[in-house]
Amino acid sequence: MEAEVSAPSGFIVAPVNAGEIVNEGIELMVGINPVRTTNFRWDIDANFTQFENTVTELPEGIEQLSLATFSALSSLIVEGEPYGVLVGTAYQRNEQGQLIIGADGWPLINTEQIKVGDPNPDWIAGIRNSFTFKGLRLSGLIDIRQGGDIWNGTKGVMDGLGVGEESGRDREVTGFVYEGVTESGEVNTTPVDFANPANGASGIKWKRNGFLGLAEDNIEDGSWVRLRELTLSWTMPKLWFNNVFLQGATVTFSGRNLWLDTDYSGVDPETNLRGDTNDTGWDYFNLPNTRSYTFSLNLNF
Amino acid sequence: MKKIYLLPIIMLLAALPACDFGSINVDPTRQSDANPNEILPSAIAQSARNILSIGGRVAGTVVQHFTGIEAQPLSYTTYLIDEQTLSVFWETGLYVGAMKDCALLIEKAEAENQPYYEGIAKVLMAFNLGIATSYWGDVPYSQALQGTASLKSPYDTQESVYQSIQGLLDEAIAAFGAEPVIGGPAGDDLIFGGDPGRWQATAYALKARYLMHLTRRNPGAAAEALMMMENAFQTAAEQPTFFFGNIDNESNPLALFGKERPQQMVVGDFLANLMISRNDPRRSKYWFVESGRREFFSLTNTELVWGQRSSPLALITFTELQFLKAEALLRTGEEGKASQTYTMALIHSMEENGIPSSQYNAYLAFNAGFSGLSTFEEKLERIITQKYVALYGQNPTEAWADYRRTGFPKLEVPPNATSSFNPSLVIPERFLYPISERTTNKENYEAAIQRQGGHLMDVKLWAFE
Repeated sequence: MEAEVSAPSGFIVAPVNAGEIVNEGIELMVGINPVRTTNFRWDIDANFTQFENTVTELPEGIEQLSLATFSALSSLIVEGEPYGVLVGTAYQRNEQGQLIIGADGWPLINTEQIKVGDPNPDWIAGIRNSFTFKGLRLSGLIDIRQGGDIWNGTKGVMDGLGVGEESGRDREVTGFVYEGVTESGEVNTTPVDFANPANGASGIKWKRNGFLGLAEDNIEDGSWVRLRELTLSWTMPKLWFNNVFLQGATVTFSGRNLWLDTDYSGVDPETNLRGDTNDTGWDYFNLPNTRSYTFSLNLNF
Repeated sequence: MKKIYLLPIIMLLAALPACDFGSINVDPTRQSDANPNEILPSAIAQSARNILSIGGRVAGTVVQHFTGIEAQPLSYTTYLIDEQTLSVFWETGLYVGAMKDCALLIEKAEAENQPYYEGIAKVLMAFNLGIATSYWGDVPYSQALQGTASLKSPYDTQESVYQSIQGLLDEAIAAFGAEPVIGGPAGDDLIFGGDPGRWQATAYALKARYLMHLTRRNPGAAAEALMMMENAFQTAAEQPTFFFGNIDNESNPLALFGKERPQQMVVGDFLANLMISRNDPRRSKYWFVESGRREFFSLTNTELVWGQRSSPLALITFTELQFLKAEALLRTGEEGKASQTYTMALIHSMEENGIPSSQYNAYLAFNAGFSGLSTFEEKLERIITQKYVALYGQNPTEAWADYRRTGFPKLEVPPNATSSFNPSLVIPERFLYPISERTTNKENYEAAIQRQGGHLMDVKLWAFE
């Protein structure tokens, strides 16, 4: 891998043999057949994967490897952290985890980027139910992902431009007092207005932390349940084809991505800025999944 | 028979752990090394770009030559200048960009006995080091740029960096005094076409500039700088100017930013109001107003002098040198000469902006000389404030150094400023070290921060304290 090295050496990257990673978890696959009669059959196929990965070793002298970097966020390989951990801009907190609030009432930004999320899911599962009745077959695949953080950069920028949902909803909020302590350790009592034009750009909650917003503010849980696929097919009875040149026919109607349940505020948490790469958990004006419907007619001669 | 086949395989396997890769990693379709004449153009072009790429834009916003109104430039105006902001500038602008080229050039020139290449590379190295130390104070140099021999460079104190700068320039001056040799710089020297005299004069001018950076530290700085100026260039035609091209690929970095990022950055209110209040004829050369914005760039408004893709940038201008001279004369008690030189500097600024005397005479009547001023501070303020106006579009980094060592012009912290990276909310005194240093060179980074008492923007640098 290419490791970033200190620029004053005269180089930016050096090739290194990357370190070690430990993956621990379980994978389960179950196939059951709860109902089976002459004409009707119900099958359930399920799989479940739960694993934790931890980077256990990096080459000597290398503190981190970068998979991808934006100004406010990076996907990194850091010893002791999960692969591709999200590190980015965040608020300043004291040892108790309380926000540190500046004299103007707004929370201060940490001077260093820190860990803000783990894009790896806690577990993923898929359940396929298939029902067969004579020539009719109905089959559906439900995909579940639990956990896995996503950086919603799209939201950060749109709120910053004043066209995001949150910046529209909360812009009238006035006199809000952030829960936290001042730099001298006292409970914060200074109120702020979320978007008072009189206070200029840094008096706007969604603008004061920069173009992308603070990475911490835009990290969301990427859990989902979705109906990945639903297929209905009908194979016409063989009897019908006794005296014709056709031997058989099947009609299939199927749809993909028909239903999605998620708390993610973007379009769809199943997305990644750079596609199928090792740096996961980035949503930055990505194209969402498409919903598709297919009709097919299969004729056997 | 089997043994015969196995033997070479066993030998080969036995040889593997010990073998180096030989030439297997050398791509025969690529050039594996470069000659000085192939390195010099990029060293020069990158040095010129470093004046007004992101480093200059951020420094220019800090001194309020510019105001950010949207996106990243807005963050500079609100002091949201974090460890990430200048990371790429540190890397590809300075150390791995121009400075790496200079280090290679110096090494090759010394090995091949090419004194003029050596001299030019040392001038450029000193110039880039001047930017680095005026942004960050302690920076790596004496043990840096050694490649794989030392991937983690310790930081030199700012005091020793300024000594290195003067040392490099002295060595350059000596190198330019050598007899010419065959194969010296010519057309690949994009500034002077290989003329050692011109480069030597530039080295003296830069010596004067970096001596004057230390007026708070070195009581003899002004007198020494005046001596250097005697050997520096004496006309604008002799200044080290780099000419950009009128297409994007060859563009002045400020203009390119204006083209690619419209409506994000405009001419700063402080500078503009200062010029408007004095009816300064250079205004129309610096900006034009569109929909209430003071635009610094246009593809069509050819009156803008510093907002064209082909607007030149000089390592140091004759105008700047004249202002430095006026200040040095004032500091050495030569008030009369200081006043005259200051007026000449102001006239040079008008002329480099293409303003005819008929248009600037009225301005001079109110702004030339020291008439009406009594104290040293008032005179210094007049010189530095006019220098600040003159440096617009040409060198915000120097305007920032001037502000930090003199307190002029009297800038005010913008009402939008935020305190996360500047807890005491002052006009920034420095930049934060780049995130890449924290993650790749942590021990040295932390030692440098500790030595300087922090690296947030309200921590004064040694030079300007």
